[in-house]
Amino acid sequence: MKKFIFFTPLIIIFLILSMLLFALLSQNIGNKKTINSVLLNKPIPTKTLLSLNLNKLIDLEMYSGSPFLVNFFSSWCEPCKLEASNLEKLSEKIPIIGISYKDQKEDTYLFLDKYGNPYDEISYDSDGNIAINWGVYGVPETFIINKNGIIILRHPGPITTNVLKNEIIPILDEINL
Amino acid sequence: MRNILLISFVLLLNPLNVFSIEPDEILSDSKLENRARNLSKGIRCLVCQNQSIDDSDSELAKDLRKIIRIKIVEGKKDKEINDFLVEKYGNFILMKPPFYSETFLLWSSPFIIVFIGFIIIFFSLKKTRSEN
Repeated sequence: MKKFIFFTPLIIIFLILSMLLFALLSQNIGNKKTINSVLLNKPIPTKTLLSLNLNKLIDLEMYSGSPFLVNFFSSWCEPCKLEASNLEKLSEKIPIIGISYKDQKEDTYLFLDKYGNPYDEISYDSDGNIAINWGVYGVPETFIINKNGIIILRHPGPITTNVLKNEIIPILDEINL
Repeated sequence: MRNILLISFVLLLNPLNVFSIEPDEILSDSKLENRARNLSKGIRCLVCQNQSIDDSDSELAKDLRKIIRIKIVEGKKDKEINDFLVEKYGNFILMKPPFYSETFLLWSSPFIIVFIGFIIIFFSLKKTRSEN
């Protein structure tokens, strides 16, 4: 009986702490992307980009007025190959700006020849600085930008058919695309 | 033979000081380089998460180390560089997240546990005394 009385507060405290931890973790799981995406609901961090062939500047503000998509990719990135066909499908609905991340230009061109080119414009991030400016963790990573130039979605990882159907298309529908 | 074994044992206990930082990254000014190293130790490698970018070999860590050095050379202060990284990646990028509502439990849990411990000791002592 003595032991029971002594351990009762301990058990109660343990249960309270477990519940707190559970609540905290389940909140984190539910909002995994929003917690990591500090750029969400903020204006695009880069207004102009240099094109892949370095012969012109891509003015992202020219795309303002209608939504567009920014996709970081690379020829050495296996998941980028996985999402290529889905990006093709998306390109029929929304303009896509591709940013070739830390790649050899020749390899980027070969990649586009082999897996298709869904991009309206392609820029080149040779040293990864543009990616850091966009808070990118790795490739592929995709951002949806609304007509006001605000980032409304960041998707780390490939645009799989499932992601396309359950994450991207509903947002495009929301913004009437 | 005994000495060789002893040296090997000591070396095993003291992991070799292998740096992830590459020679081309190091700044020629040692003061600036020290600043960069200290800053890098406080920045989390986001793709490995339990390492600082100073310890990590990942591409992102390497890029972040480079950008820290570029900003130091540009004359940016440590706080400005940290703020830039937090602006891009959030507070999670800091190895020591600041105290704010979301990290309240993280920072306060040791104190809460110690406090609870004191309460338990207090009541158990009180009970023992009353029984005596």
